[in-house]
Amino acid sequence: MKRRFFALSSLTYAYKAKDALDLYGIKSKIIRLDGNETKRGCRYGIETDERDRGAARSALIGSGIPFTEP
Amino acid sequence: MIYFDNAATTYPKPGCVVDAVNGFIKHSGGNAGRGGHRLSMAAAEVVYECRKKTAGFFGINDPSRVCFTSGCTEALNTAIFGCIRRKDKVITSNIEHNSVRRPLIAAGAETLFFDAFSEKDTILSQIGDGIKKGASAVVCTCASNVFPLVLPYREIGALCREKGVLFIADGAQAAGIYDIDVIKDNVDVLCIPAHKGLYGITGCGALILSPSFDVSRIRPLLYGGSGINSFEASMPEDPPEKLEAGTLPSVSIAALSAGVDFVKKTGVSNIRKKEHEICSYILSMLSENDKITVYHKNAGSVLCFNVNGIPSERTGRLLDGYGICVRAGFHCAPDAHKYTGRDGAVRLGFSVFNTKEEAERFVEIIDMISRS
Repeated sequence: MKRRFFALSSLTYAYKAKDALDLYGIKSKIIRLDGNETKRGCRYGIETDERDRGAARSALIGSGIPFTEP
Repeated sequence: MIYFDNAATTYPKPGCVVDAVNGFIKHSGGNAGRGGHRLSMAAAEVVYECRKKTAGFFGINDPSRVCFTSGCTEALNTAIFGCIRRKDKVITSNIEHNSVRRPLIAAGAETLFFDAFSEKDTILSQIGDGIKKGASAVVCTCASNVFPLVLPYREIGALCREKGVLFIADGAQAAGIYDIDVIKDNVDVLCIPAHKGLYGITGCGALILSPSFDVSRIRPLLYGGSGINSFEASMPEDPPEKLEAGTLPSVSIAALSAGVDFVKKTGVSNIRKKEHEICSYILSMLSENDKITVYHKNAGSVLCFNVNGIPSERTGRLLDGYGICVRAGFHCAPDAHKYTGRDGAVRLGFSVFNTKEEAERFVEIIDMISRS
């Protein structure tokens, strides 16, 4: 099954994203993304439960953390 | 053994730092940011925690503004070569360590000096004159590594902020001993070592970038693997990865994390008070010996002296013979030593672990050396 995640610009930003989601009570996990999941080579992302996806998106936007959703 | 060379590196290290090093090697020893497996992520967790703690310690709440290096020298080189262009006018002091002096020379900066021995108002006036002459940056130490001399870095930062001039601060001898808040003190880039006043181990330093500092102004010093965006020809655009090429000194970062915890728990002001008390005692005793010359007689975290008629390196060797560790010579700060008027000096550097008994023993020994 295709993974659903938010791609972050760096591992540090992935941790910042996790911290931001923790503040909103949203469980998440930092994952290493495959080269073919991004167009730039290796990256890190944040994986959340599908039910929390919308809230997580809002939380990341509200926290000013840039991300992409493939 | 009595260790009075804490300005070079602090010794001993707190037990929590030793435990952090052992714990990291045993349980987290992967390469942070270079994989997705559990050991790499365990290491990454330790690194990120240290970023958060170090950021908070210096007054910022964004861990991405903490960029790890191999030491304060690399941090200063990164800041200077990253921000200063050839023929830029840069204001610096007359007591700088070679980790500031040499990169400024190599970067081709035109240096304008202020006299660090002057009163605060004179220093600020000299810096103001330099800014009027077109200086675009001030690069200077917060505290001397030779004399017990603390520069008015807060006022320098405020002046730089007012005039729109970059302020790169060398925190090597101040971090963990004097309070530095990157935002309140208007420091654009603070460069620190892990292994001195923060009681970590050698092999790690950091640049702390102010939230107001535009990171597009700084070019990386090193280019290499960043663990991300491998197809891109350039380093990542954002800190910290922009300024962190290659494998991080993760073990040293784990130690720094514990060191910051130790300093916070002990209290920066308590550490400073202890060091100054030891210094004051030694200063008062040496001042009674007419065969010893003390330079810049203030209480501080370092103290510099010579035994009249004995070269400083020889005094250092004699002290080592009695189990007392000091550093003699020029301390990588040749400009500062123009003021001793001699061929180097003996430096004592204190830490929170030094005791009054050690100070008394030192005084006894140096008294004996001076009269022999």
